Amino acid sequence: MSLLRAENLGKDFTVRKGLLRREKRVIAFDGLNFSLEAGQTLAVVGESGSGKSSLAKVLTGIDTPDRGRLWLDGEDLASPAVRKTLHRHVRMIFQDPYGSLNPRVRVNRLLEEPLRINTDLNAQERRQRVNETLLKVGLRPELADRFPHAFSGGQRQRIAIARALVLEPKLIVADEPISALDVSVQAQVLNLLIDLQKQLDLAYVFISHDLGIVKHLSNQVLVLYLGRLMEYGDTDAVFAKPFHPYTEALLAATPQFRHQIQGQHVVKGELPSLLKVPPGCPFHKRCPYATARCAEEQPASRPLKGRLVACHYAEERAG
Amino acid sequence: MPHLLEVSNLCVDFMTPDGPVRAVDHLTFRMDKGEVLGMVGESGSGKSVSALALMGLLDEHALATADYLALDGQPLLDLSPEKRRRIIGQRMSIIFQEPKASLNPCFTLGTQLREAIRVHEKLSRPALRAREEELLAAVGLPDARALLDAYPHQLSGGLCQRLMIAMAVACRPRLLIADEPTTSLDVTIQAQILDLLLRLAREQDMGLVLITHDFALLSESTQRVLVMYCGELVEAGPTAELLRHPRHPYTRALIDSIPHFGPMDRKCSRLQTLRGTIPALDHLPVGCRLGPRCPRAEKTCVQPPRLRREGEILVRCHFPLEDYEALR
Repeated sequence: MSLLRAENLGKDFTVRKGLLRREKRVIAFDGLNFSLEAGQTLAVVGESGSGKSSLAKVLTGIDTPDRGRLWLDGEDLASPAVRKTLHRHVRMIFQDPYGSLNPRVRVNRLLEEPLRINTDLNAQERRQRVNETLLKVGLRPELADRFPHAFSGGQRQRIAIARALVLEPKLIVADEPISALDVSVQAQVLNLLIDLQKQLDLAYVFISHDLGIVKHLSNQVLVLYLGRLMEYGDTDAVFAKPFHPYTEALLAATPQFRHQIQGQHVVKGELPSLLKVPPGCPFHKRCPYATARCAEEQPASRPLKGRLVACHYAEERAG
Repeated sequence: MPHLLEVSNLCVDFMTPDGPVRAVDHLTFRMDKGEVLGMVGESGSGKSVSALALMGLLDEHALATADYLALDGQPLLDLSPEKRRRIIGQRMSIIFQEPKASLNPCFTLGTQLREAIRVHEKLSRPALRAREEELLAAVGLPDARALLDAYPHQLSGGLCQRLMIAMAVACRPRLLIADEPTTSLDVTIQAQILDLLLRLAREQDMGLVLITHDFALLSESTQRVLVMYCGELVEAGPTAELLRHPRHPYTRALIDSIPHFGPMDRKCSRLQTLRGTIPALDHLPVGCRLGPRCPRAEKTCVQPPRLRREGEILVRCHFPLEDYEALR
């Protein structure tokens, strides 16, 4: 049984636009299918507007999905009783540790708060748990009575990781957790995440636009474009031979992988707005292989050699 | 043939209430015509400050000094500040990380592009129009006159960066400094902008300085790289050679910190990286500035190392790495 499973998951937002403030429905993401085992990492990849962060909010229970179903440990999250326990088992780490830690709250209180709300530990037990967690992330418990501003960016991200870990969750959703940090500090935090996963058998949903990190860290990768699944499968296999032209374009745009992609290097054009998603395949306007069919018919994501791919020509491309 | 740019012992001090703080310490380098040079280092390493100093864009709290500075063979330090500003303005341009922050939100892009053209040449109205079109085409936006009526907030970051580049090359510069030009953009757009910069440099025989913290980005686009740490040049040399065999432990750590890039990378393994963080410039360690973070540090390292030549490479280290494996 998978730790996390999503079936046709979708989420909409409404925006009001124009003179008449007419409501318009915007699809943040739609038709997502994936699963994740304990102790493994699923990477979610895509550019701005691809629905990565909206997906994170749904997975952590900050938002509710509008379509589809989501199971955690085999329990359907649609049921209110299960949803209640979600906050204990699924925790989130945000991109910017300057924005995600309340500057007016001392670190020990920041870490204690989830325990006070979600557990019935007494004050001393809570303090002990906080100290243990700080040690796990490589911070000295003596520093816990300081405010976040006393810490560097890397240390702040360690605090944010500690806050996610303090409830001993099964799954951590990390939304670009290292992209705001300096290169050598990025590597330190990445190492910490790798160590914690091994020690605690944690599962990660790792949201990133950096394919180098994704390749290094993840077992599976979910490639999104404008909220639609483009390709989903085993990371190493997908990187070795991308079936979807968008995955190929992403790889070609990343220096580490550029050399392994033949032909057309740089995709044309800009990302379309979510308010104006092109009909047919959402990627067809930028796709170097697009045909007339791609402009008319939206390709369904379908299983192919152990992956899910949404491209009319996936079978040919898979060869 | 004179070098495109010669910089000797550039220092930049910031005046703070606690006394001067040196952000760039005796930086010396040269660039050839049409060369693409990378400058790499973490925040606080002095790469952006060096670029601003060369452009003469530092504010009054900063004091930049140099022993020698020449552009296209012309020494600049003997000139009056006004004359120097004029020459630098005509022959050098800079673009920054955040295109929307560099553009004025109150004016249309057309107004801003025309201003950039008019500063350098007096043109009749039709000629100005033709030049605008030429520049738009050069940055990959042919038939895009409509964009010129837009304000920066109406366009994407990628389009704004293209227009920034159009403004930067409006004076037909000999040298373009690009300070993290793609950092705030989406990956597919990053690749487009990088390709555009490299194509312009090639077509217009323009020198290009690419400032970044991402070694992977430099790996295929630059001929030479300068590695900076805490305001000092710690290693410089041909890109391919530096990647194959970095001599300085800091260069090595920068390469190893990038997942799936260095030759030592293994799936899901810990990355080799330095401990600690880059020190504040007013609390630098004694001797080698990397000392407390360096896995190879010994007693000798409390003496400041000098830049030494090893083949094609310049390195500032008492114990340079003998080969890529040497750190283990």
